Amino acid sequence: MSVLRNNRIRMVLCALLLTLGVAVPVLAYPPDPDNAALLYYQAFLSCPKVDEPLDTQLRDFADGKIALNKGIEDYVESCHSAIKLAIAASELRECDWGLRYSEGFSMILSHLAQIRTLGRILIADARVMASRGEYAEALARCVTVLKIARHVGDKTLISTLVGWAVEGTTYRCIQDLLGQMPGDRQGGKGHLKALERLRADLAALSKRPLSLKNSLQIEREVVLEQIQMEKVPDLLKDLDPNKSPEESMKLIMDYGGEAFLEQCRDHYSKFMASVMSIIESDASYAEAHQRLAEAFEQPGKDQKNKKNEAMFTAAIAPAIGKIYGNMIRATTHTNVVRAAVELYIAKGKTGRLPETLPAGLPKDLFSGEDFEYKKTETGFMLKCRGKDLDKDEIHQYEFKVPK
Amino acid sequence: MNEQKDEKWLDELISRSIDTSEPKFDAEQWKQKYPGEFQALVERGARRPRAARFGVLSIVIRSRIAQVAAAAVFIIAVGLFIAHLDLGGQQQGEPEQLAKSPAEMVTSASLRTAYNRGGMDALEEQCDRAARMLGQGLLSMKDVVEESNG
Repeated sequence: MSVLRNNRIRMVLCALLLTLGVAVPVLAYPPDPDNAALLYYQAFLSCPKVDEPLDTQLRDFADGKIALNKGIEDYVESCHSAIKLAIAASELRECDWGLRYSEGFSMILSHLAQIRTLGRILIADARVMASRGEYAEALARCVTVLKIARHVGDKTLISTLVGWAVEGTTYRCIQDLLGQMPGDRQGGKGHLKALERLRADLAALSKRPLSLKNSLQIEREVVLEQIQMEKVPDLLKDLDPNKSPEESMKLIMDYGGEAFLEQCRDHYSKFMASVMSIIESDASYAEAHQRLAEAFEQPGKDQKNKKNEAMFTAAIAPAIGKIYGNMIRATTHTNVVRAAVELYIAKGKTGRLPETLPAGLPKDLFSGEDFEYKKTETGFMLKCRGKDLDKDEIHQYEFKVPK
Repeated sequence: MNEQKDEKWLDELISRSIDTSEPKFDAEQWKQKYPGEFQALVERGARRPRAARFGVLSIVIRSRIAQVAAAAVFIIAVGLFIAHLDLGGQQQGEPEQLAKSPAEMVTSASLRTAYNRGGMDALEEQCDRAARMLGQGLLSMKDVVEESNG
C-alpha cells in the first residue's frame, strides 16, 4: 500500500488506465467514414427505383409546382435510409468524390447527376414535413441540402454550376416554407426560434460559398496538364471527335511541336490569369461583365490574327461571362433569402413587417446596393436595382406572409 | 465573226478527233457478233408461257376477295412506310441522346458542351437524363414490399 502513496506511481497508473479506457473502444470496431462522399455514394444506392409518372411528380413536387399526393409521400418515406445517410454526410467536413482529374475533360462526374436526385428527395421530404406543420424540421432539411451543395464542391467548373443549381432549388423551397409558416403570434410554436436558427445557418454557410476562383484555378491546372505532347491527341479528340490522333499530331508538329505547345500553355495561362483578376477585382457587375466578355473574345481574335498558339485557349476557354452571371445570380438569390429571413424575424418579434428595409442586410450583387423593399397585399417584395445583363431583366422575389 | 469562225474550226477538229455521231443499234450485226446470247434470249422467251406472265394479275383482277386483300396489303405497306419515316424523324431529332451512354453523358467535356449550348437549363437537363439512365438503387418499392412479405 505504501507504493500507492507514491505520487509518481499513482500518476503513471492513472495514465495507464486512461490510455486503456480510450484505446479499448477504438479497437472495438472501425470508425465511421470521415469522407462524406462515401456516405453520399451509399445514399445514391439506397434510393429505391422510381418509375414514371412518379419520377416527374417528385420533380414537380420538389419544385413546388404540384401538391403532395400519396405516391410521393410513400416514395419519400421509402427513401428514409438514403435521407439518413445524406444528413450524416452533410455534417462531415471532408468530401472527396474520388475524381480522376488526370483524365482531363474525359473525367467522369456521375455524382453530379445523382446528387441532384438526392437533393430533390430531401427537398421533397422538407415539403412533406411542412405539410404536417413541422416547419422547423423542414427548414433544417433545407439547410442540409445547402450543406450538400457545398460538398458538391468547387473543384471543377461544372460541379460549381451544379452546386449553384442545387442551391437555387433549395432557396425556392425555403421561400415557399417561409410563406406558409405561421409566426408564433399566429399560433406557430417555436417558429421564431426556427427562423433565428435558419439565420445563423445561412450566415455560417455564406462564409464559405462555392468559389468560382477555386474552380478556375483547378481548371487551369487540369488543362495545362492536358496541353502536353503525350496528351494532346486525347485532348483534341475530346474537342473534335472527327479528328484522328494522327491528324492532330501532324498539326502540332507542323506548328513546331513541343515549343509550340509551350506557347499554347503560356497563352492559356495568361488568359486564365486575366479572367481571375477580373473576377477578384472590386469591379461592379456591369463592368466585370463587360471586361469578361472582351477577355472571352480575345482568343478568337488572336486566332484570326494568325496567332496559332491561341488555338487551345479558343477551344477550351470556359464560357466565363455566362458562368460569372450564374455566380452573381446564385449569390444574389442567397442574399435575398437572407434579407427576407431578417424581415420574417422582425415580423415574428413585433407582429408586423418593418416599414423600411433594415440596414446592413445582404445586398443585390447586380447593383451592389440594398434590395428595393416593398410591402404587398400578400407579404413583401424584394427587387434588384441592377439588371441581369445575360437575361436582360431585373429580378424580383416575392415573399408571402401568412395571415 | 472571227470568234464564230474559230468555233467552227474547233468543232470540226473535235469531230475528226472523236466520233460525235449519234449511236445506232444494228440488230443484224449484233446477232452475228453474239450468236450465243441471241439464242439464249430466243429460248427464254419461248419458255415463259403467257398465263404465267399475267397469272397473278389476272387472278387479282377477277377475284373480289383478292382485290380487297391487295388493297389491304397496299394500305399496310404505305402505313409502315410512313411509320418508318416518323421514327426516322424522331431519331434525327435527338441523335446525341440515343447515342450516348450514361457515363459518356456525365464526362466533364459532355457536361461543358451542354452548358455552353444551353446554359444552366441544358446542364441540369443533361444531369437529370443521365440520372434516369443510371437509375437509382437496386430495388423498387414493389420489390421491397414483395421481399418483406416473403
